[in-house]
Amino acid sequence: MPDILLQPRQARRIPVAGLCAAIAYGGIWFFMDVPFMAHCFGVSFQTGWPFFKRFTGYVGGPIEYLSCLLSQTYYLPWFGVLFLTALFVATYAMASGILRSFIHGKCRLPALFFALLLLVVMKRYLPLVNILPMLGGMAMAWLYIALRRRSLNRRWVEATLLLCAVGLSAPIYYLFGGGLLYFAGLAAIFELIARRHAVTGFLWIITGAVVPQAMSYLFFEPGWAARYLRWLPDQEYVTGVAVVIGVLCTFVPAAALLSPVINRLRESRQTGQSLRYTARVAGGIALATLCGFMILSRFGRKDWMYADFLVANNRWEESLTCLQKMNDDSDMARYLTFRSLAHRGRLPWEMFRFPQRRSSEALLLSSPGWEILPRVTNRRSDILLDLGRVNDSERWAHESLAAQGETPAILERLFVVNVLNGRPDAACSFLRALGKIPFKEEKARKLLARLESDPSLSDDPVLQAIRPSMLRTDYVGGWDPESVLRQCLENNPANRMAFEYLVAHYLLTSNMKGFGTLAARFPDFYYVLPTHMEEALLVYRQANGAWPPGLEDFRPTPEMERRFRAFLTRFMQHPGEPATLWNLLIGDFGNTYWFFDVFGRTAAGATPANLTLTSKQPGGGP
Amino acid sequence: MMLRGPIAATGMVVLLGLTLTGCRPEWPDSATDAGRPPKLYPDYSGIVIPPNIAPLNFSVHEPAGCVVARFSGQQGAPLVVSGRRGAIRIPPRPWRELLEQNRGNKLLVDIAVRDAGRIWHRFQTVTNRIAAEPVDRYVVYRLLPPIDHLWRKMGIYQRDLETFHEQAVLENQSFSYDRNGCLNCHSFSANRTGRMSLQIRSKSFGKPMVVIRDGTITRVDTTTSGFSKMAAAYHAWHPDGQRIAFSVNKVSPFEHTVGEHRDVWDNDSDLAVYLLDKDEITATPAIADPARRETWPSWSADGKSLYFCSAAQIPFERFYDVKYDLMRIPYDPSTGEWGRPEMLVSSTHSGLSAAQPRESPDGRWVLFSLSPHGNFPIYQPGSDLYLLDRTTGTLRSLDINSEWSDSWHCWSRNGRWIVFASKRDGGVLAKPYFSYFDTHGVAHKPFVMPQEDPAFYESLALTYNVPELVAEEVPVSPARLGRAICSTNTTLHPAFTGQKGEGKGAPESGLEEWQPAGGR
Repeated sequence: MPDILLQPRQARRIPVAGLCAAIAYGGIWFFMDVPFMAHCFGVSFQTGWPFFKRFTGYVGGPIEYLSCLLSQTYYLPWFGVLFLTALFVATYAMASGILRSFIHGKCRLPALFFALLLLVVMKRYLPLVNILPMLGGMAMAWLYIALRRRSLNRRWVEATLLLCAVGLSAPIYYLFGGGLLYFAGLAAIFELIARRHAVTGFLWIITGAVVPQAMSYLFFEPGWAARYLRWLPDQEYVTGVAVVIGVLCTFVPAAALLSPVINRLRESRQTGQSLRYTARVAGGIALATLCGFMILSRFGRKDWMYADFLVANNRWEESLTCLQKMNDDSDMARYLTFRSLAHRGRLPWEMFRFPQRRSSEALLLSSPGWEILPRVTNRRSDILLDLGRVNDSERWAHESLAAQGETPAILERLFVVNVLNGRPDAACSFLRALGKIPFKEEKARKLLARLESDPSLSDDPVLQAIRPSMLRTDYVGGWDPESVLRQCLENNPANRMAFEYLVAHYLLTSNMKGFGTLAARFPDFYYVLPTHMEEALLVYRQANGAWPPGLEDFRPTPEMERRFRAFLTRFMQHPGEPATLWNLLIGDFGNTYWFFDVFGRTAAGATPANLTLTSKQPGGGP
Repeated sequence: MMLRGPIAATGMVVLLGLTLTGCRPEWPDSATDAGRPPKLYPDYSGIVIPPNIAPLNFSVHEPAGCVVARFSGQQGAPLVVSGRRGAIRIPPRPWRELLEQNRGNKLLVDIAVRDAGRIWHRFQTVTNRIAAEPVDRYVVYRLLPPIDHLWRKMGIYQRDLETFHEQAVLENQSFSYDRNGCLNCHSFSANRTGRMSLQIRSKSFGKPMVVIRDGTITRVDTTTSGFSKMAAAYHAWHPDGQRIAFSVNKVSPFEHTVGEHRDVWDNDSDLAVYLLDKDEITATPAIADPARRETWPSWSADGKSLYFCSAAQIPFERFYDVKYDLMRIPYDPSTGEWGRPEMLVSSTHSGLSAAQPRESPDGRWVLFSLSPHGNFPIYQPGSDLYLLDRTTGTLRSLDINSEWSDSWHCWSRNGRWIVFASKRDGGVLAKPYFSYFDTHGVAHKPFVMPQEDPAFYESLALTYNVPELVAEEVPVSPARLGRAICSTNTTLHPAFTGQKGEGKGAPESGLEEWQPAGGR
């Protein structure tokens, strides 16, 4: 075992270590937000041999299985925090143990930095499957280095250890995939730099290079890069994130490689003292930066993923607050905005208070290019179920199942759609699959009991809300938002969400003709005209010289008419001067449909680089 | 040494406790009669089973702390098995012996359960029959999530039916970066694995037909022959192992908003035959007519005719009207000459659409599926298995059909067993079912492929398709197969030497093809 754990003089530090671990637990509980991690990195897992067997046929399968298993701890927050604390402590101990083998003196600060950086990356950017192989390889290297140090000057022991370690690299490669690179790499650095055994060092380099190739005869992997890097981070990230992940992945090997320089500088009488001081300050700044990042990311969440997490938990108001802060007009942020507003009954009143641009694809996330993205398949299933398109929702739940496996959310969705479609036996299958996920047995058992007593779950409020909106006509083809929403209304004219989404679609595409066709339905849904509908009606009249047919007594209020006149007056003062108009209108009218109609976007959203008018006058069309 | 005494005493206490409260494999003679059959899952009652099948482990869905099952036949001692929580796991060796001793006779299963009040209840005896004829030892199938448009993990697996051993034939991570490859429609020559083929669709390594002949793996690119630019889809090996009939299909998935949501549109398809020794592709206008869609090739047992399904070209807007006829065309393997096609089952008369014809090894029966429309029966709840008697020309639906999709059937070598994929257990996920097919042409009540864990299927969220019975294991490993598939420099490019019909094919439907899912 490594020295750090075995030296008796350190035994007295156990209470201190325990206290530190308790503080770490509290800190991780507060800063890591494990339920959010479950939302970001929830992966499929089931108990039993058949599920494990799926991971046995390829290199890195066992560590992927372990990652899936440990990721389930995220679903039970206290357990997830416990796991993360253990991982944090183990990472710290491992990094400290390895670095002390290279660098003379204590290495607490760099080890702490590494462990904290790991948490930062785990919180938002990397799933466990990208972390564990690295840590597994490092753990093997730590063990190897510790054993090699203990067997100094005992040639037979050394030789046996070396042979065993090299011999075990094939199973280690099978277990950890790319983690072998860490193991072989750190072992080689140790032999070359710390022990100055060139032959052994090169043996490790050759082992790292040859084993993945040789193992591909047993477990064929077509990609050369994947053979060496299986499960190491290989996805595309924005530059800043890529740098952070790069630092995490190379920190320990780089420190080991640079250890001769560091040691020389540390031991130099002239520079030693000042270097130590500088290093401590730099380390302190780095740690403070990481802590600051953790705090900021806890309190100042402004990414759509967090809003998505809130939406997934039906926390609509919180989601809207988050989205308002984000000021993001990406389609995913807009999708979440539409859905949250619709669930709160605020869509036709407030949609232009949030960042919008002239496109309705975000309503149903209908752009075909997104189909292969797992997040999009889940979200499509959600919105289509909201609209009562149960078959479409099932389709996208199937796509999610194919892409992500049996996660709790997907299995619950498949249970719901099968109950709605009158297939209780299939619903039972998906519930039983849910019951094989740790921490979900109880929920599955209760739902199964309910299903057995009432196969249609006729007392379930969520299902009962969807049932009237379910389609009864078979529509084939057509994935444009307008036809999807019109079909919903044909089947259930009282489908309010479909109606409001259709209005939103026409407003977002400045389709006044389409909007006008819905005017006759306004009295079916509202006692008072919603704000954006009033605004659009005025634009309609401006463009067509009359109110849309069927509007009956519904009219915009005199106050709204006055505001519209004020808008037009200002607009006509500077026709063809978008920058001037923008400044003139943004304060009083930035959140109106009129503003959106002429600029093709709302005032909310990122500051535009180039302003153009998409319409010469309100209602002029794009 | 000092601890031995306490350890031994503790062990004795535990043993005694287990003996008093445990669930022992002893038949409770004092059990009271429940007066009804037991509820079993899977339903292994009233079935005919092969003498070489693995233990039919099952769960008794009755409130019970302990369950005891007694298996008995005319010969040999009864086999008594007990289990907790209703699960009965039969030991393989005595099971095999019992089946062997009672080949062709009845297998009686008595079940008793002990309730919470420690009272035993006995159910009516379940009577099964052990057939004299064995089933082929292996079944090869595709196992994957219920796919709509996207796929990710998928594989073809082989299962030893005499044990519970399952292993991969090929998984898509073996031939595609990030699992973006698709593999489908494996086919064997005369239920033997020495000659087999499967179809690959990979962004990185193309869409070759992969042919395994006597241990040699070959990539065959059929798209450059001049016959069709579409990749091969369904394969059918000739019984002589020298040629493979295949279809080229332009299939796209689409959705319904009511009922089963999945469906498939085959925009255009033709048939051809790949001659292995000559490395040529041949066809005749009767099976490659641009005015019609020909698909689902299948050779007769004597190899002297080719069954296929054919439908007129109809635009996608009328997809409900697309119904395939069951056809047959004579073929002379020695000369390669084709005869005149013959209509066996007309869709006009049946009102249904034919797919997947398979002739029995004795040549008397043609087993195929009929569905309301189209040619993808696995997505059609109304798809049923039908039997055409070649001697009398009579057509009938099999009694074993369910309310859900029954399709993807295959004969055993001796013609006494059929395996098929059925969604009868819920309507969404298909499982392989076996049915005894007797000499009178009667298919007996089917049973699902046994699993070691009786609750295996209850929580399975994957679906089986293309179950094919074979006599032995696939002779190449997944790694070897994967490596051969990725060796693009060894691809064969056969030339098209046959004839095909003239004219334009179907116009584009505008539908998208299947594609791999992204992300991880």
